[in-house]
Amino acid sequence: MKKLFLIALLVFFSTVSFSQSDYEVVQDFKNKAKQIENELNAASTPEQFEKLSKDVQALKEEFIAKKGLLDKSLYPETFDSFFEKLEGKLKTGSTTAKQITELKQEVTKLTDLVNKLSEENNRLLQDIEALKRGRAQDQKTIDSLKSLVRKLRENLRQRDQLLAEMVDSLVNQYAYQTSALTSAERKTMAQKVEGAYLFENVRRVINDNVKFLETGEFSSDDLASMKRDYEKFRKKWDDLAPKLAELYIDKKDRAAEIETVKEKFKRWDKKIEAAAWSSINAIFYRKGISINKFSSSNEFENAVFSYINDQMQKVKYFDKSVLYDNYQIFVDTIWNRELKKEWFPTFMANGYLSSEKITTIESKFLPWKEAVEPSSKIWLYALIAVGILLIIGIIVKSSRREY
Amino acid sequence: MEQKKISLGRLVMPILSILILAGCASVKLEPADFQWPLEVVLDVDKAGKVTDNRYSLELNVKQLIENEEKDGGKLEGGKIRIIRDKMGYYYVTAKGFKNIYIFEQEEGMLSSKKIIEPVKDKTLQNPAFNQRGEYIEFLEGGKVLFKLNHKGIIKGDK
Repeated sequence: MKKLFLIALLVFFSTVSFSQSDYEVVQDFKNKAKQIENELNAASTPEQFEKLSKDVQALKEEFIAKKGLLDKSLYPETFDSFFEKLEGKLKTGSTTAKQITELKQEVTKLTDLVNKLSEENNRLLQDIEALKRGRAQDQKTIDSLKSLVRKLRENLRQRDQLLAEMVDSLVNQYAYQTSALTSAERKTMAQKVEGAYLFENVRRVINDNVKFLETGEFSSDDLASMKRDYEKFRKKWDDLAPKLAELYIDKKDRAAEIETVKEKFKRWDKKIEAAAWSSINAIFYRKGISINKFSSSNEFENAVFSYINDQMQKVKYFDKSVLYDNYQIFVDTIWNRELKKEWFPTFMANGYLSSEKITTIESKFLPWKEAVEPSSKIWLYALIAVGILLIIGIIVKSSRREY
Repeated sequence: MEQKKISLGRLVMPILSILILAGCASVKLEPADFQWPLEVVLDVDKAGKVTDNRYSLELNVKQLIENEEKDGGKLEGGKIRIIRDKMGYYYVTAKGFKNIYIFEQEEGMLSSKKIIEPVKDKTLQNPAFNQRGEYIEFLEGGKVLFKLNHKGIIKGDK
């Protein structure tokens, strides 16, 4: 009896026609689809994509009965083409999210390594500073300072290499792409760039290298290798910067940061040049040649000219042999053996110094030599010999008279 | 007398031939189907203009609103609903209206062919049209009230 009543109730309600307007059906579909599309655009994790995949399937099932209506109403799309597009987007997004997750893990690993090396570098920089402050110039201190600098340099190279690999693995595919990025590529790349702390890491590399260049003097080989590393890193940035600019066209702070990094690279380059000049300064200092400090080719030329003039002026008051010693240390030991052989090729290759400038400076060496070179000692020996002969002659003559 | 009859026949025949030939010169394309798959819900601007991009339709509905006001209705929500049937007739109504208007297209205008009051002395609160091919379905408050064509409510449906 109860069952019969329920069936009767069901039949009664099914005869009451509740209809939905087609317009409402289409609007309902469009709203639900829009919501999924919005979520799809914002999704970034594989879990979010998995949930969205279910939502898309549910939407399809819910409206499959209205396919005919939607085919006509979604013009120029159809029900099938709409879902094909949505599912395609879902698939691409899901693949990218998986890749990003894997990359993030890789980046996290690399970032940990980079951080460890950066911490060690900071410690090394502090140790170097402490040793330099101590001003103890014994061989042991000098050796440990050198060893610390070597270690620091090696660490920096390793860290920079790691970061370069990280940048490569993240953005290489876009950095060399000549056409404009699609919006999906822009989104993926932005996620990768932010996830890898790209800006922060690039800034850190530049700052650490600048700090390292301030630690002291370097060999010409060191500087040549540092310049090479700089060029390599800057090249990477130059390739990447236009894509980043495209990526952050709407984000003013990031766009400004691209410019800041560009300026930092310039500073890094200048620092390498300054370190190179400073290293030459140190060579003169170590050899006891008190030349004015210089940090550019013009200053270098002026400092050398000033030193030579000063030495030539001193001829009036000083012993020529001392001045000539200075000349020999300057020209033979420093200029010819060290600077010309080891340093100037690198300087010229990097545009720090021109061959014309070297020739101009060298043109002063001959007058300098002539001014400070003591008179030839042959005349002195000849005079002494004549004197001795005269004395012998007088002695012989006087002894003959006595007999 | 007989001569006169012949001359009349001779006069009428060429005229008839011209008329028949002129009729042959016009071209008819059929069947034609003007139906919109879905009603459009359009915003009425301050000037009383509504525009639909998909169907390239632009109408001024000021007179329609004025007519409704005379009749005790009032446009609510600023939107009107329009659908076109297979034959090319337009069906227009809106929330707050008392009537459904059936229009036919004329040179540069729509002129009403039929005005229907779906619910006596009541304004419509949730009207909608559904395209059903041979007819237009009219709904109010989620219920199908009747079927329509350009002649009005299809008999036996209300």
